[in-house]
Amino acid sequence: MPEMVKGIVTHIQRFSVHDGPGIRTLVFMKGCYLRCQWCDNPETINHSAEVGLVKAHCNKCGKCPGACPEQAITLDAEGIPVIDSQRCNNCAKCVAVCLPEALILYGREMTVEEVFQEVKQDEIFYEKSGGVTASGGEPLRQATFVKALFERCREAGIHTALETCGFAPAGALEQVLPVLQYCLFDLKHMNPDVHRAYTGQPNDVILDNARKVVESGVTVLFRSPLIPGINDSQENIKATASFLKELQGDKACFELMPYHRLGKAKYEALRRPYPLEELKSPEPDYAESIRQAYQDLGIHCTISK
Amino acid sequence: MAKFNQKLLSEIDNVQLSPRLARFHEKFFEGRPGIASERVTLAMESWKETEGEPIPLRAAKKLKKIVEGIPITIHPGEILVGSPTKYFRGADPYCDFDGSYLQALMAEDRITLGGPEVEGAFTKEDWDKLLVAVRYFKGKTWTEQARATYRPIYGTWYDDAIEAGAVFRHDIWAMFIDRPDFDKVFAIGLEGIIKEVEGYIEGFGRNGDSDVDKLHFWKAAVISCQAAIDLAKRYAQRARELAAAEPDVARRAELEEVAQVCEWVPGKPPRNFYEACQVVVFIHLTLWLQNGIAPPAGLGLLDQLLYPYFIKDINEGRLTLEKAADILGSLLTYIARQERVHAIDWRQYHQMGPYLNTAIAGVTRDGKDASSEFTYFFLHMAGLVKYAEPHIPVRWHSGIPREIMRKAIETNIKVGGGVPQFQNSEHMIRYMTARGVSIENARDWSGGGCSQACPADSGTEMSPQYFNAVLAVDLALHNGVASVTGKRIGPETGEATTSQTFEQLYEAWERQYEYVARKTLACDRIIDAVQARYWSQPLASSLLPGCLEKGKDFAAGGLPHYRMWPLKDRGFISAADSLMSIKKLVFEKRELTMTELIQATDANFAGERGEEIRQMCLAEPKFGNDNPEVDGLVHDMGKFSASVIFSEKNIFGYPYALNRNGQAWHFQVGVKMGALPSGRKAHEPLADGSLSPEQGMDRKGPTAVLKSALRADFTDATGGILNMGFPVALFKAPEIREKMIDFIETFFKQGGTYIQFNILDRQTLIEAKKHPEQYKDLVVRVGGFSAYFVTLSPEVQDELIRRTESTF
Repeated sequence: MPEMVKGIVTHIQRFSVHDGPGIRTLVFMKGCYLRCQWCDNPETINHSAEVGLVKAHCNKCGKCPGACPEQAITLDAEGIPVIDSQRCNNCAKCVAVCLPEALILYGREMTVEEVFQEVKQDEIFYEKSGGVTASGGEPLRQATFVKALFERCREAGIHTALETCGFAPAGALEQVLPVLQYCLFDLKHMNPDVHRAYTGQPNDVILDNARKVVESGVTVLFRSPLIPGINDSQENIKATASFLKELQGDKACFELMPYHRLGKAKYEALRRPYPLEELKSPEPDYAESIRQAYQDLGIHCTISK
Repeated sequence: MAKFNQKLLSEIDNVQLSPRLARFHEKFFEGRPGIASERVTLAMESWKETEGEPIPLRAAKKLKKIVEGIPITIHPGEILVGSPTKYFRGADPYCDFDGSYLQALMAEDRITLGGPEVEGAFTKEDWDKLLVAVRYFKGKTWTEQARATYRPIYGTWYDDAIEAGAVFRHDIWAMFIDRPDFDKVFAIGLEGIIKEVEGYIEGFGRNGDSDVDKLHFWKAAVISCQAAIDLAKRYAQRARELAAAEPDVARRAELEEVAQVCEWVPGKPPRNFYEACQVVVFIHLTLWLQNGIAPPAGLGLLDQLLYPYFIKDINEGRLTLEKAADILGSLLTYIARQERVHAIDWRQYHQMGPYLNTAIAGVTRDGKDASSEFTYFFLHMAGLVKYAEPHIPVRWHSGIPREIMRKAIETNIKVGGGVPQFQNSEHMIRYMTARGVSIENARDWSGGGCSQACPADSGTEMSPQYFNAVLAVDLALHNGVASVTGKRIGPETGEATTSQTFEQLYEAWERQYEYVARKTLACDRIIDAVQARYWSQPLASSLLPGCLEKGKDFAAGGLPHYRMWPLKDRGFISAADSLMSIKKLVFEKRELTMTELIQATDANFAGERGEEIRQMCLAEPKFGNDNPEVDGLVHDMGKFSASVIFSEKNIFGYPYALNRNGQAWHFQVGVKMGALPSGRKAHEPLADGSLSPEQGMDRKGPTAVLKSALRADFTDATGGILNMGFPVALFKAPEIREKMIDFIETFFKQGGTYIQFNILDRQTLIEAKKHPEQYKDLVVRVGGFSAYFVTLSPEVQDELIRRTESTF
């Protein structure tokens, strides 16, 4: 039963307007192969469920230590919980007693049918152009689930889109392609060594998959986070542009997503250090100058958000 | 799209704010609005002279006296003239309408206007004159007469219910005219109307008629129409005087033109766009001078009305787009400038000023798309002058041109909050025709105030009365006693602690709600009957359908019908969120006893378990999250209220209609009310608009809010206001603006009735609160109402800030 296939989902976000055509529902799949230092969704990196704490929401009721069977929670001087990551096994019993939702469980197991029912809620808004977008994390890490979800959506006439970093095991992309209608594909860096240095993986698989998705005929929008000092060199811009030209010719498009630090709070919630502490959010003019550089190379380039 | 002249549209897009309009904008925001005394002093003198005469004649003679004596001010740079006071932005208190209200305001040695934060500036001389007028009118007005009539019958019940926030004080209200018949004035001029009335007067004796009141009414109509013409002539005279002394050649020519225009209209039909706009101002101004409290709440469908004049003048080369922009911009400025000194109940309900509606777009009487290049121009100018008013509902229909929707969103972004707003015309037409209005008159509906609507053959808005569904929850929990005031408002439905099932409690809510609504309407009908006899509006009646033919004031039965007399039922969202918490915590999960919950809310969640109980309440399902159970409760409560209200009839024998409006009601009533089982603390605002989720409770984003709103199904009412806050960043990209248009259209196609956007970022609001002087023109929505953010009380400001941070 494909609709009973299970996946790990961190969050389902309705009314997404930046992730594909129309008004969309974004399904954030948990787990990623890359370890990008600029990642703004750190809660989607690990494959398994994790407990996080948003201190600002805590009302200091003091219930959570008692709810924890592992004695992993103590209270600090102000009455705010401190989680011992060594002891915590992410059982989420503390989350259940936290009424103000300061303690959050990132990631829960859902069947395709459950996710589909959530996606279907906004059916009336998809009428013109919207639909579902699988995002993450890397959705291709759960390709069987995504394929089954997309099949279910297509049966119901719901448009499907995928947001991918392109790094996935052999066969994963091929599995999803037949039921995919739109692809947002990240090209983070063209140099394999730099790519490995900042994301933990080389880019050969990614470039390969980029070719495959273009050849399949699915509409693709290539894009990239724009990280000052990391992927904004003339050399990388030229290499990216020529790769795009090779794939898409005169119709080549590229979307830049300027680096921002909004994800920092999530690192704190997950008790992880923020990797790019020194890096500042760039000025708006900066993104515009990079956009212009792509334009000058014949790429129709836009800036997201 | 082929419909529009694309060249003209792109010329309109290039129209900039002229130095003239920019100066007005500056003047608008400089200093405090002035409080004047001339109108009410003249009203007093006239009232002394006419003692013992029939009321309509007294009202007419009062207007004549005012028009002859009021200062005539033409402000520098004005080309459309007309000002209710000597100030650019000013108000004249209406003691002739309500003799007791101003004293309370003056007791504080200051006079505040629409919002409690807006203090008026006044001279010692005006203050002293106002005191004289206040003393004179005390005990002599219809509102006091109304109180003296219902109090012996109902004792203090009505006042107690008002104090508790159950209902609104209906006796400080006059019927508004929503749609002066400009078609008629444009066709035959006021002189033509006078001629018509003289025919009726002449026929009275000739034909024989037993009702001499008609004769008084007609005479009053003639005097009032003539007063409007005379007022214009005084402006013509003033313009000539100014022109004679004007050294600047260009300004002298302008003033000479003003004199020519005012000499011609509104007595004679306008000959061009300029004169047509001046007619609109003069009619509005004279109506206000007669009434004092209730100027028109709407001006009809200005885009359809003015388009033929505009396009003819443009096409024939007699009018440049720049001059048209100055004229239309002046008209919008004129509307924005209107201020009122309101009674305390009113000012909290309203927060701010003119309360004037100029609906646009929609369909024509024969069902075709009504929008034009002028509709586009109207939106463009509203985006340039950036005032909170008028309210500009875009009458959406499925054939509305995309250009109009795009322009509307663009204007929305420029102004910030709620200008324009989007109203589903197709719903309105269904609503009106179901109530017996003809299809043509329904298609031709126009707006009043924030979200009311009247069919073309009615032209008025009748009642601000509201019923408070949340207070009925309080009454059901306290056996009919309002918990904050401790006074009995409703019947004894039993102690809530003895309810065995949720259904029992829900039934108690129904009984409380119904009892208060029916008893209030009994009082209101007395008030309406007193008003019909003792407060006359002959000029307004001359400009409404049916009244002249019948020889009757519109408040006394002159209109062809009263099918759209809209009462307001409010608070369903906060009420349903509250009942849902009780249902879950007390009856289903049994985590709390009813006693524990009532004790916690009565103590405003203080005490040992207070905060814990509040958190439990907050965690239960809330409206706005696409949750069928709580949305269904809103639906059921709304339907129940409609069934009660539709079973009651107004004083003319028509079933009441419903308008679920917005305004600052949620704030005014919230202040009066204790803590709620929804988790809301005492005295905090209730959910705003009529379909907006409780502040910060919508956690699943805008589409879930719309789904909830659709499930609630407020199609029994007009309005059904849904406010949504969006960060301005969302609207930067054109392709996302397109998605927002689709979002609105999806909502309307599914049956949604009304939506408006606050487009702002939270930081802007925080800065504006800290540095009000730098954000004087920041417009935001409060309920169904636009206001200047800096004029709002800190609590309302905080609420708006919370809204922007808590959602999506």
